[in-house]
Amino acid sequence: MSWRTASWIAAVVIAAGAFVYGALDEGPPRTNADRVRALAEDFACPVCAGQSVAESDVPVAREIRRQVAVWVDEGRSDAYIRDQLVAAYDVDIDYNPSGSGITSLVWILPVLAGGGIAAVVVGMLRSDRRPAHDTPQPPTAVRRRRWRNAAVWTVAVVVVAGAAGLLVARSSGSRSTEGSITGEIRVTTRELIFEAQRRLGEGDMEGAIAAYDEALELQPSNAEALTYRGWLTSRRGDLDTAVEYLDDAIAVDPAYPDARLFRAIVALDQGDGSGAASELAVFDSLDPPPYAEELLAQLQVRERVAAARDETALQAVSGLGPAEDRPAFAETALTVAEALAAAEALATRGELLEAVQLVDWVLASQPGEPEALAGRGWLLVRSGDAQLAELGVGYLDEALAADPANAGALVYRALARWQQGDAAAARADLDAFDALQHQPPDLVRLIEAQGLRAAISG
Amino acid sequence: MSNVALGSAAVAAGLGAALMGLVVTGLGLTGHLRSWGRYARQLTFGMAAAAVVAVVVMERALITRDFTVKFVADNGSSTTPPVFNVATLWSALEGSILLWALVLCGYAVAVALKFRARGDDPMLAWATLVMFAVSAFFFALMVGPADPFISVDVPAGYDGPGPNPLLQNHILMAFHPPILYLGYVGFTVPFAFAVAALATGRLGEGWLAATRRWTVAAWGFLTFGIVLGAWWSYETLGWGGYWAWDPVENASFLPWLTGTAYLHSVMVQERRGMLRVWNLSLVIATFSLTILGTFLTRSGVLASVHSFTESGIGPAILVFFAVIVAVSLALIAWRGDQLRTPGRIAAPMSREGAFLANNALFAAFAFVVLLGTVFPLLVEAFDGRTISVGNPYFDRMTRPVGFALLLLMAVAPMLPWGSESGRPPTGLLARRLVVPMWIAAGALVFSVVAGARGWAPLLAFGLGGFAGGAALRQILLAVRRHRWRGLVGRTNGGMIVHLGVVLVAVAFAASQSYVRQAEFDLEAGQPAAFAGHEIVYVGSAVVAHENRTERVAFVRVDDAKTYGPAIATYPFASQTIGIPSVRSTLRDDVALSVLQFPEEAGADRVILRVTVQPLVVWLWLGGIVMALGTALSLLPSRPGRRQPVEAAASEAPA
Amino acid sequence: MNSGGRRRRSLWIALPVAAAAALLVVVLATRDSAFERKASSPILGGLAPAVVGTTVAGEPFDLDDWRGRWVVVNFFQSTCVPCIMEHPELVDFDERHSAAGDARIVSVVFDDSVENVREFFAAHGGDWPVVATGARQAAVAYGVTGVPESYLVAPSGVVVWKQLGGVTADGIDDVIDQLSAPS
Repeated sequence: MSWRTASWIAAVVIAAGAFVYGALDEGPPRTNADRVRALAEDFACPVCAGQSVAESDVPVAREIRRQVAVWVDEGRSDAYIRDQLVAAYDVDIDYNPSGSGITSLVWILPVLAGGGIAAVVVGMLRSDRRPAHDTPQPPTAVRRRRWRNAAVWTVAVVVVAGAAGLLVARSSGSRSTEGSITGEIRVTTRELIFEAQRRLGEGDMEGAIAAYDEALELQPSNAEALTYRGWLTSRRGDLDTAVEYLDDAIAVDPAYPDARLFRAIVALDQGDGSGAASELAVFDSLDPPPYAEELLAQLQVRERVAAARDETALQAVSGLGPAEDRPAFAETALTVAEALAAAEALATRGELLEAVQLVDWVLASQPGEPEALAGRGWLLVRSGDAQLAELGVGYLDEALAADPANAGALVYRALARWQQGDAAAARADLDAFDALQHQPPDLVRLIEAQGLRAAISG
Repeated sequence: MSNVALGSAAVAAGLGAALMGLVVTGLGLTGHLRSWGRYARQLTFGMAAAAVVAVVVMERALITRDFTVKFVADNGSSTTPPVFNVATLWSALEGSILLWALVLCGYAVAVALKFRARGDDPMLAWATLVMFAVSAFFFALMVGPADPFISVDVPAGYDGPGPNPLLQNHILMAFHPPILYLGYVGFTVPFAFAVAALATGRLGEGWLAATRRWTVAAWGFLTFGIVLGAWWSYETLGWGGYWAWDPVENASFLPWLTGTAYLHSVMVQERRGMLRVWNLSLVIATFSLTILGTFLTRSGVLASVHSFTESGIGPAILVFFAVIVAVSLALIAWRGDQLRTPGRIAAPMSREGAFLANNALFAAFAFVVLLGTVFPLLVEAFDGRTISVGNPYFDRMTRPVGFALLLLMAVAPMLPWGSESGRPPTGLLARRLVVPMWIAAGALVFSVVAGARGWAPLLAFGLGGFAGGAALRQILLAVRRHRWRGLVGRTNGGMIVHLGVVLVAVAFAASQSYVRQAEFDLEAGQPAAFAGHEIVYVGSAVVAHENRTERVAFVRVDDAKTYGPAIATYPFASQTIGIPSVRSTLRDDVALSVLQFPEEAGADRVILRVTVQPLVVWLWLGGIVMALGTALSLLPSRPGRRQPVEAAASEAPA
Repeated sequence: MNSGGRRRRSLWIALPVAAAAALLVVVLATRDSAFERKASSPILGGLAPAVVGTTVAGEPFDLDDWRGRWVVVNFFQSTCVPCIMEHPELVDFDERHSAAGDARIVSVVFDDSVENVREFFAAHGGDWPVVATGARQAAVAYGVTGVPESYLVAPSGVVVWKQLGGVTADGIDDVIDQLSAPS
């Protein structure tokens, strides 16, 4: 072995040793900041001309950098961060072209071109190694063979380089599956609920139920999923299971209007009028969204609740017998409210006289009871007869004399005054009502339904 | 005479001279005009004089703030500092075309003077014709869609916005564009002679000899211009980067790649008479790519920080590009019969074999860059989708090519020209490469001891040591043999350029691989430690300059000097501009840039970005070494041996 | 070798190059300016990204709580002039819909301090939630590119409309009317 050979071996061994050591040893770990910078260089600043998120100083680039830093600190993967940014800013934020579809050509073509160039160079060297023969026209057979060889080589190069290019595209343009917003990220409850709503919109109830079930698997205490799962169950006729879901939802979020509404409807379906009424009262206190009100009107929930209430009220007085034979009110177990509700129900049926008699019967036992006085007044005011109405106002005056803060009496009298054309007096009563600490929702709705405010303010 | 009138007249005169030159040269070629050479020379001088007058008028208008000239009203300002006032010429589209025309005329004059002895040689006539045609195009741009001398009425007391703030805060802006243009435009000369060779059918080595130095000079300017551009970007943009694979950067890099390939393959043709079509194609491709680059920069089809504002000259340049490519391809196809290669490459392990490999690599490199640059446009055209191709693609695809080129740089200079025997010169290589191999091993060991990790940068360092060792060996041998003359001439200058390339490659690998960056939110007096450096935010101050207001953050680095990165507000700019500050050492750079001064009562806070990058300085030093090597390679290597112009001229027409 | 074969070969090489060059020229010639190309937002038509955080008033906010209403998600900065200019329109919009409760506004702070935002609302009016904590996550999730920028979320929770720059109350109402009209 010559000195030169030894020297070569020594140099190569040392170089290879150092290289392998340095390439295998990972060195100090990359910090999060390093990863943020590396990532930022791979994304285009959305508003800049040809600058990356790392380069640009515009506020958007700065915000994206900081959000990337947050994600990196949260331990998110590069693919996750890429998906998030692409979902928000579209694929052109990603400087790394996808390895699938038409964009994969950007990876494949250079490899193909490289293979082609290499083939040409090799071909030149090979052909030149052949002795240069001076025969100007090679025989046809030779030429044909050359053509065939060239064709075979071309196909071989294209196939091999193309396959290599595909590999490069796969490994380099790697990104989670295209076409889905979330890609490999776990689907969130939000998205499942959205999916369920979409299916519901399309009329696919079973699909919606499946999506809600999936959402509940991820998050069992999701009030929205519980509510709608319960609602859909009730639509299928399984009221008891529906009640379980809805009661769970209400336990999770007592202030969720949709749950209250559906609970009220289910209660009605079960024949529980008072339960429905109390849920409806809670619903009204919750500032419900417009679509809930629409549903409410569409299903005539209020009307059904009122009808159920009337039914209950009438049942309470049905055992009393005709007016002449009744025992005194004080001797029965009825409350004033029950009696008044029954009177209202009678009035709703058009049996005004019966209703007035019922209230008079109460007043006979409890003269001066403000609620009863107000109720009697309101019955008369509603009769449509001017004289009776005037009489009714007298009762309302009496009720207010007994209890100046009687909300019902104030509203009824305001309505009566307005019907009589005395807007100023109506306004005074309405102001007094507004000044009360508590405005019962049914009265507020009554004012609205009659258009009182608009009428007397204009 | 007003500036507008004078300038317009000068531009028109330039166009007139160029068109007359076309006619005169054409008549000479068809034999209708005997002494066309003299007229053509005079017209060239006239055209150049017109360009000089136009530029002087524009500079006068800029310096005297003559806002009746629209270009000055749009881009000038009474508060721009004097140096940048001059540089305003190339900070906007019309002025940049004017500068282009001036440089082109300069080359035309140089060609006219250099080759006056050739008399009425048809080859020269064709080359002159091409030069006139290209000049006419650029003057026509200035008469038409890119007129720099449009008059406007501005109200009394009007002051212009000044150039883009980014273009007036660093001195490099005064040098980077003119030097880059010297490179771009310089490739017109070899292109003109290549077309002339095709047209006359004199496809021997005559045109090569005639233009070799012009090509080398243009390449040198282009190289230095690109490095200066990277430097400017590093110093002013403040993110610690210098090369972003931006479309316009790529547009300047593409002619560099094909030009570099040509500089190598041309030696095969000179020595062995081979690769004629290929060399012509490379020259034509290089020139076409400079025109494509101007299109990309000025048409607005690709978003780039370097883009000029949109204008109507895009279609004109695109048509020009199409004409150049069409005419050149037609000529090559037509002359195909005469491009027969008399020589052969005898062995792959020979100098010519190495040059062949070199060209294959550069061609692949150029393809990768070109494809990546225009690919988004292609996808949009065929698929309607908008996508981006950037850093990850270019990094991954160009890296293997870069490694292969480094390896080739080490081996190729050691290879002998091929002999007819075709036996691989193994023994020779083993003898010549043993020292470079030891240098490579030393570089690797040193890198690993210094803490470098990761296969890619280590491979770059090892190959860099190998190639650098090879270049050093050649230089030392040449110096030992020829004393100082061992540093000049094409071969020796080329080895110095190789050294510069190795420096750039190693610095590139190190700075890209080991960059560290962090953002700090600091209160006055608060220190922060990062990547082995300690920085202290001392406090801030507001400094009013004539054309801008700066809020400077004083930052002390490593208990030594205090640096002043700032945020500047220009009255006409819609947003603030960061002015970074860099502490450079041969080992590493600490680049500081202010991202924000958070507005908060009673606290002096700053959000500071700190970038620590090793070996960045060596990029610029490498660039300077490359420029120096180019200059040395232009000097004659042997006393009394001049490039035989006459010999080339005497070559018999084919 | 005859010259005819050579000529053919150079033609064979020149033709594909010419074709590629022609393709490039055609593609370049038919491209719109990059300054005019503006991709539509990918979040349009999808589930509204979450806006979860704490308001400048210190209260928790979650966009999902407003499901069932039209919601204008408005990204703004107290110092940006177009934001100041659009603000009265937002106030107007809020007043139009506050009684019916069918549409609401949530503002999201973009790169600004809480004090600045408080002062801004004190000076310019407006009484709706302004999300401060969690604002950046929301901005990046919506793909905000600058301020002001507004998104309209339909009662179903889908982002249906996006506006770069200032909005007007009438403009938003028009969109709502258009989209809620039975198709």
